[in-house]
Amino acid sequence: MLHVPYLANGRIEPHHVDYVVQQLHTEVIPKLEQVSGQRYDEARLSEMLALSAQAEDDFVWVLESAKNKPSPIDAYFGGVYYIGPIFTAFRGTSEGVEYYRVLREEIAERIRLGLGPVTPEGTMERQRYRLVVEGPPNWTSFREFWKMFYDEGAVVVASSYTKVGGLYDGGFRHDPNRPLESLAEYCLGCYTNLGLPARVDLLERYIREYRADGFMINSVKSCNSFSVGQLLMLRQLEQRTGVPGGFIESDLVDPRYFSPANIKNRIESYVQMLEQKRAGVPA
Amino acid sequence: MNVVEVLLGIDLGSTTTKAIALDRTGRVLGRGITNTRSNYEVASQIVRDEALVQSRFELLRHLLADSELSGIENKFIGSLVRNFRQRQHLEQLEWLESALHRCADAPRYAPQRKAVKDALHRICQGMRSRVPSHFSELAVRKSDFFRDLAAADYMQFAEQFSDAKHASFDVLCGLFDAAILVVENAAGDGAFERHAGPALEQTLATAPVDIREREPRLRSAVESVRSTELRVLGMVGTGYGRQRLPFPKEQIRSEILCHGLGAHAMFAGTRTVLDIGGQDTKAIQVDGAGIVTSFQMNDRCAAGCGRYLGYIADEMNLGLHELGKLAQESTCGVKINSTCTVFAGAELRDRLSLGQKVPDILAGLHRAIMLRAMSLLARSGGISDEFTFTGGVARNPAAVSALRSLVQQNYGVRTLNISPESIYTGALGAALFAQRAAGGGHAA
Repeated sequence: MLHVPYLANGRIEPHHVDYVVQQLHTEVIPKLEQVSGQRYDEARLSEMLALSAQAEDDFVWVLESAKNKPSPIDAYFGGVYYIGPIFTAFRGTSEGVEYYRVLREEIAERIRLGLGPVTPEGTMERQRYRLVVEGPPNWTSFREFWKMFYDEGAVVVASSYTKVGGLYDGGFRHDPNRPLESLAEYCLGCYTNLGLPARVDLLERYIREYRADGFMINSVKSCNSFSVGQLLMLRQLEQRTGVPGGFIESDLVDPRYFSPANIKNRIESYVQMLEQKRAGVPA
Repeated sequence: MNVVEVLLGIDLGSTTTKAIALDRTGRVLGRGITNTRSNYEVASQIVRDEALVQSRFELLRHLLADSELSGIENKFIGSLVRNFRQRQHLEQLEWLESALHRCADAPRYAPQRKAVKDALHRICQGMRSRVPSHFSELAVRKSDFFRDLAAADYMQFAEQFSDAKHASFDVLCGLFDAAILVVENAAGDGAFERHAGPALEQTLATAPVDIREREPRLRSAVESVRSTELRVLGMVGTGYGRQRLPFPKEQIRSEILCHGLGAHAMFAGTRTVLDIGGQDTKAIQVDGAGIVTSFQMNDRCAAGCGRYLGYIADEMNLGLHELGKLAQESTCGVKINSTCTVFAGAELRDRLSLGQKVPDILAGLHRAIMLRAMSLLARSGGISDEFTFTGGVARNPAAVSALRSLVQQNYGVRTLNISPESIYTGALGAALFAQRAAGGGHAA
């Protein structure tokens, strides 16, 4: 198993990278060679990292397209589809490069036409609230959960969950010239490996850069890497940005924790609160 | 014909449904409450009608107070309302009796139908004879719901008139359970129009001299209110069942906002609101205008809410209203660990088996609820001054005293506001939203 040290101060230090690279050399590569019967080929790895970096540029462009008003994408419910290829089997493949090229073209076209994101019920017409979301979605009732947002005209413009497989929009790119170091930095820099202060900094940046009206935390029971400290994050973000936070509780995988009436109630109450604040007097 | 414009707020709670009627200036005219059962549409219709009936009495009060009849309005209206309620109750008893007979017509009662119907007839006669005492001037009713009053009387007479062989107590209870639903789900619209006249005659017939002397003017005042058109300008719904209200989406508001605004209207200094209802607990922070700035509520589990107390009351074979009083007799608190309704039931039996005293256990249960509420309050940003406690549980004295001591321990001195009308807070907030949508003032 590869041990990746937690970044308590939110920064990758050289000794972190050395530690992970050393494990790649002494543990991971020999084991993979033994299991696969093939020699480690650094040139091939570099080629793949170059392809990955190419796809990453387009991926980041897509994520940042949510800075537009209206946003052409939903960066949480739609975002989880966009992270699929690069976070899993298509990183470093020409298919991955092609996917993000086509995606970028499609989103560019939506911006040109002034269209909102695609939801299961077609294009989202009205964007009343721009939200930043922290925490994983609920996979067991994904569509129902999404509907609660788009029914209220809430579009997610940035999310932390789409950064669990790498903070590409923070500037990270796979580097073909430093293949193993680059892989180490990738592992170290994933969102859930950051300490709380770095997570708060990132969310604050999203709230400001994406001109969000609010931020929502979906606190799940089954992933403590996410959930620990979220109430503290909520308070700090409210204090720093003046933007009100919402808090809902469900789970990634356990359907028993998804109570639709309760969650819908909180989302509705939250957006009505935003509306009231926006109006300045009781709406 | 006079027209009075009213704004309605309806709060569909999981246990009770409440309505508030306001006039255009935001003054409360009438309130209505009923048990929600499982039929939100009917419950909202019933409370709406009830709030409008009360509004007419309130308009009558204004009319008398503003005239030379001022001074006798409380006495006169008090008697009129009692006679009105009595007639309403008798009407519902009539519906109940015919529903009981219809239920008894089912084929399975054929062998003993005559005996069953005889028993029903005698029970209903007995129930009618009780009505005047329920509505006398000094009567203390345990509940204002027809179901509760009727059930208590019915069970008593059913015990008396049942016989194990032909019309058993169980059969009679089963018939009541079926028939009461029919009565409860029949909205009694037009009640004021139907009953105000006869109630007035009854009031005048037994009235003291100072009222009888003013008979013509009182008659015309009642007639004027009866013929007044109450024009509903706007209606906003809230509460657990609000999605079931037959309103367009813009007329539905979250109960968080309604409780925040309602609490602000009742106590303008409110900054933190705790609402403990039947199904959920909410901690809300509001600004100086009643605008919600932050809130937290319980997750899917209704542990530590009103339902928990209801369940404990059932377990202890007590009425919900008796629970808090009994807990206040505690001399030595017992630490209850669980606010989970199911586990608390087990813990309760466990404690009883150890010989611990009922009031002490109950005091521990109330404290456990409030500890959970304190954690939600802390999550929402703490308790600021002033602090307003709303919802059905605010009526429970043991819950209030547990809350008071925990607030003192954790936050120091805070003004704790509890309105006797706290159960209507959500409905009041909803009505104020309706008033604002209709372009009314900001008075509350």
